[in-house]
Amino acid sequence: MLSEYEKQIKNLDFGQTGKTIIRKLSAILIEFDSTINSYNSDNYISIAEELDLVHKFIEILNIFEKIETQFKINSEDTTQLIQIYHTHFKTPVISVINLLSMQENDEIIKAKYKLLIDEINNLVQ
Amino acid sequence: MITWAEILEIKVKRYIDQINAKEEAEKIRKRKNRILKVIIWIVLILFIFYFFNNKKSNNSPKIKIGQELKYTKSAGDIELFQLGTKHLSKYEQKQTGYTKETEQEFIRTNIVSEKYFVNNSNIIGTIKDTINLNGKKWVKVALNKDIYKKPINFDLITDKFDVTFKKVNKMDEIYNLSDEYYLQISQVEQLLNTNNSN
Repeated sequence: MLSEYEKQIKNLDFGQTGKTIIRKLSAILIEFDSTINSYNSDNYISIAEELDLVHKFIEILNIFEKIETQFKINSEDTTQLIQIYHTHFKTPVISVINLLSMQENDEIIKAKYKLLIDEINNLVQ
Repeated sequence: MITWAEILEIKVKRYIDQINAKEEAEKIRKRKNRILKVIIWIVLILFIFYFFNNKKSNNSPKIKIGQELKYTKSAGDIELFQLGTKHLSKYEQKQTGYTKETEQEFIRTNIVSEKYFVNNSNIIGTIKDTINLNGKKWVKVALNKDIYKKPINFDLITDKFDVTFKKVNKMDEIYNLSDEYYLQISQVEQLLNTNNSN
């Protein structure tokens, strides 16, 4: 059985109008944000939860890439898309990574999380 | 996101290591518990063994060095033993791997019975020591000198004696006989029990 999140991804049709795509992407991001809040409710993110978040993160990142490509093909403005990326995707992801770094005692892993944040920050300028 | 994948790889490995360590600790704990149970059982068995043994020895009269051993009619014949070695026959030598003589063992050399104590003190002798041989306990007794004076063929009616108690120094096929006399522990206990009840 498909989860709400999977259904929303399946419903995404890149042939639709930019406005519709943005609306559907917003729904996916709300679901993603809801997942983050749910995992963070006990102030601890387990490995299983982190794995799931990574999986969702990569999936959404791919969706952003596809939408951006589509928008460029259709010569549509990507400003709103990039704004959504920064506000509703990058910010919650970085806050989660910060939380993961805080709950970590291993300095090597802490350093890697810092590097990861830098990577994400430099991903889309 | 190579970095995040790396982080997860390290964390998953650490998580697996933690599980393995936990399982190992659990195994050690179970092993320790098993050993503890075995020790408890051994202690329990030893305790039970000691308890019954102690109970048994409590029922048995205590043998004291220097104690006099008195004859009672109910004891019947008192068997006297001396330590010695037996010369083995050719057949016996073959059976035992061609050993000419046995190890030192107790050999019954004399019997004292009721007739030794008629018109005499009823003292068989004094306990000198106890020794273990081949898992059996024996009591060394210094015989009452009066026993030597009394006969084997003693006539109760005429009160005449013709053969007196003779210390055995040598027997056929038996060598190295000790001077001391020994009694079986069971016979000594029987005598002491009757001594105490009289």
